[in-house]
Amino acid sequence: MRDLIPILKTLKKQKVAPALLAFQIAVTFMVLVNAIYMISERSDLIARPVGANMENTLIVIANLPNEQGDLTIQLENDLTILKSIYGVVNAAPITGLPLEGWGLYMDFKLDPNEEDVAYGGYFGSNENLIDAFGLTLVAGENFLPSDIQTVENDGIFKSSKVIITKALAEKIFPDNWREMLGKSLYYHKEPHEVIGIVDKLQNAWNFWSAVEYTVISAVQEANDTQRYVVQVEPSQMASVIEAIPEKLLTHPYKQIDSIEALSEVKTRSYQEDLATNKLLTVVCIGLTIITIFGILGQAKFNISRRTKQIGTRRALGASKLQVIRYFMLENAIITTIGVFIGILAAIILNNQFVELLSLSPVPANFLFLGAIAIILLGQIAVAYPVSQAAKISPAITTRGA
Amino acid sequence: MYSYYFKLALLSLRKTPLLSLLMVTMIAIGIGATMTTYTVSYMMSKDPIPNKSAQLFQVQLDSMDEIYGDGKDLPYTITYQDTQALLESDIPKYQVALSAIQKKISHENNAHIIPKSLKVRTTTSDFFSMFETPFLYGSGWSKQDGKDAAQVAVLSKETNNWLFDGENSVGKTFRFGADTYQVIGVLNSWEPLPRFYGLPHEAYTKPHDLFIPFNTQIKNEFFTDKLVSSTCWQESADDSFASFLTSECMWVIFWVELPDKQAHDQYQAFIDNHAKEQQSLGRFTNRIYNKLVPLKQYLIDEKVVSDDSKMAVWLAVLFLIVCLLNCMSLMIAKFHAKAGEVGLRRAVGASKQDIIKQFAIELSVVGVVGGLLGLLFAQLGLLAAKQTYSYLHSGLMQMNLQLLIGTVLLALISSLVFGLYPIIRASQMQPSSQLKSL
Repeated sequence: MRDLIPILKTLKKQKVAPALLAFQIAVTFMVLVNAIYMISERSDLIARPVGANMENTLIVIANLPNEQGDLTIQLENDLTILKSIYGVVNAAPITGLPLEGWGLYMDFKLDPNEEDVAYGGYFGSNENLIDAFGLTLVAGENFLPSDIQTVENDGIFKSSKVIITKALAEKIFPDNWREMLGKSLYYHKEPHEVIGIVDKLQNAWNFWSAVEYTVISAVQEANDTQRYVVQVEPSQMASVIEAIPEKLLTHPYKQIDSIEALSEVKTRSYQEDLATNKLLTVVCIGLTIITIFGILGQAKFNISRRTKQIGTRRALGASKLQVIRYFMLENAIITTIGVFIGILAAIILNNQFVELLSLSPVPANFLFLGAIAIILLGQIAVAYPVSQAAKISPAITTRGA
Repeated sequence: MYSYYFKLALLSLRKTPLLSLLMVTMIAIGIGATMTTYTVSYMMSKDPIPNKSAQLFQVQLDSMDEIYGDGKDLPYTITYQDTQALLESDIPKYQVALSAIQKKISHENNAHIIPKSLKVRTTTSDFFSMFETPFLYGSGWSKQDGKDAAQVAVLSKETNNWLFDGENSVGKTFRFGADTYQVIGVLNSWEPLPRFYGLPHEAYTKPHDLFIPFNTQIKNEFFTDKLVSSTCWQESADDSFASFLTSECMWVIFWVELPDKQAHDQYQAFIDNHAKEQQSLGRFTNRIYNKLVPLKQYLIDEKVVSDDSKMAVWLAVLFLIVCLLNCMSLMIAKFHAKAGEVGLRRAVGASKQDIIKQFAIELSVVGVVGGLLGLLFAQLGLLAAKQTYSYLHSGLMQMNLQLLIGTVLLALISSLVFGLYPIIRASQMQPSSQLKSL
């Protein structure tokens, strides 16, 4: 620590170059901490489970052409065909898809004359949906075939039995979510008896605060754009995907819009977040490299300017280690000042930052870990030039100017 | 004089090749990153139709029975029955109702062309004049064809290439679902960015593959819920399409072109009047609140430019600042090493201004070279962005002339601004301090 005073004195004399480096470190620190935090936030969002079995769930979108007569009969036909395909565990129709970006939502009431208790997304289907998605029923029971109604449009307006997600039940009854069982949930002025609760099922919009508040009603819809959820036995995915068009395209008006794994729907839904994460990662790597260059350059410049001084110190008895320690400490001080400015700026600018870039404020532990990481980075970057400095021969003092 | 300084600059840069290269690379990386992200953001927020964006308005009507959202916003769609009523007006220069469906399209007799399920824009005849679509062959359908729900279509250039090998297909027919439709026009390449007229979340995707009259969709009872944003707050009478049309479901996007203030006020009065009439019939029970949203306001309201892209620009600017700070340190180091030369030049009569000029020119060279290299990096960056943002329109990842020039200027100016201090510091050098040691 004896070096501290001389270092501070030098810094005071040579303020500009170290100040620049400190400022650069401050900006780097701010960007890195924010970017890494954003990456981790997004990754957490993407990692949330959809609730369905992601490996073996297949989504088929096909039409029910009016030209072929009664839509309900066509729907039953399609389902029979899908279930008969080798490798298919179960299949169910559905009015929308998790994370599709398109869907139905509504406000919920416990009493039609009172205020809303929650809002959430809606899927209409039948008793096979739980198997078709691979959902986990945590309380109550599944629909019976006799509970199911079939309509062509507007299933949301029908009174019916419903299964809801645990998250929605917890939202309405925070203390004991099981209380929701057997009660009626009102939406669009009709009562819906809650007979079952599933662990998780995300609805249409990944960015929505209510993405986990989902209602499955016992009303299946048969309409022009028909979505099917198909649960496939492990490792049968490829053969089922191949078999579906052959079996389902039974007449010229029939068309299949898409056959894809539910995991693909999810990836598409998060494509913007995934792309942004990539961008942020590139920025982080780029910044780190540039800053290492900066620290390296600064150290080299300092050392070359002080070659004679170092030689003198060595000649007067300083060990190599002492020289190394001096420059390491100098770098640590500059970096710490930079990090300090960075933290201060982060705190002062936080509100503007949050508003301008719609970021969420970085938690304190991120700032702390970031600070340590940057200081370490500085020490590593400075290691090579400093080891060169230690090699400066004391004899250099004896040479002329 | 300046050409002499220029020569000196080149000489000096060549003397310290590593340092010069490092400076140029720093500037180039920073500029490359900034311009990559700025290009995407700039292209996103560009005015899609500059000569008339001030005259285009989206019609939003509060036909609901209770307050929607925070009370200020309205859905960007209106009901079919209101659409019918609004289309009667002759106040707007042009007016366009639009929706979309998905249909299986195939060639009539060429079995080699595999049928495709395509996105079809259904709209009224004014669409093509209002949005100034360029035609390769033929034209849009007439008002009469639109009214009669004629089975005609305008194809995009791409669809025409696929179905008819790019030939003039006007008058030819093709299979549209189960029916036969006639081609009436073929568009030339037309990719407005952002594609403002449709659903906000589709603003950076290509226009739909073909266009048919709105009434043709209605008459044939076509509907693809996935391609429509509909707000339904009341059940329709029954499952039939007819009662869907008379229901309170809001699903039609409606644009008008109002050339001046007078037309705007007149039209606002017209829609308010329509709302009042409907109120007397038991609709519009909530309030009389109708909006003509200017195109630019609509793009802002619906957040067509994503926050992510704005954030990316800010990150890149900070990145550039770090690069420039780094560059500044290098300059200080460089000019410090040249102290002897400065001292000598000052001693033999050069003024401070001369030194400043000489170094400024040297920095300009570094800046311009950095800018040009940065331009190259930015193009590489945009290429990478095209891969990463494959779901966005590739037109967003292209620089126009302004951006190209802007890139080099930004590099030049920022390197001079950040070089100002090192240059002035170098010019303050006392000749005597350097001459002593000689």
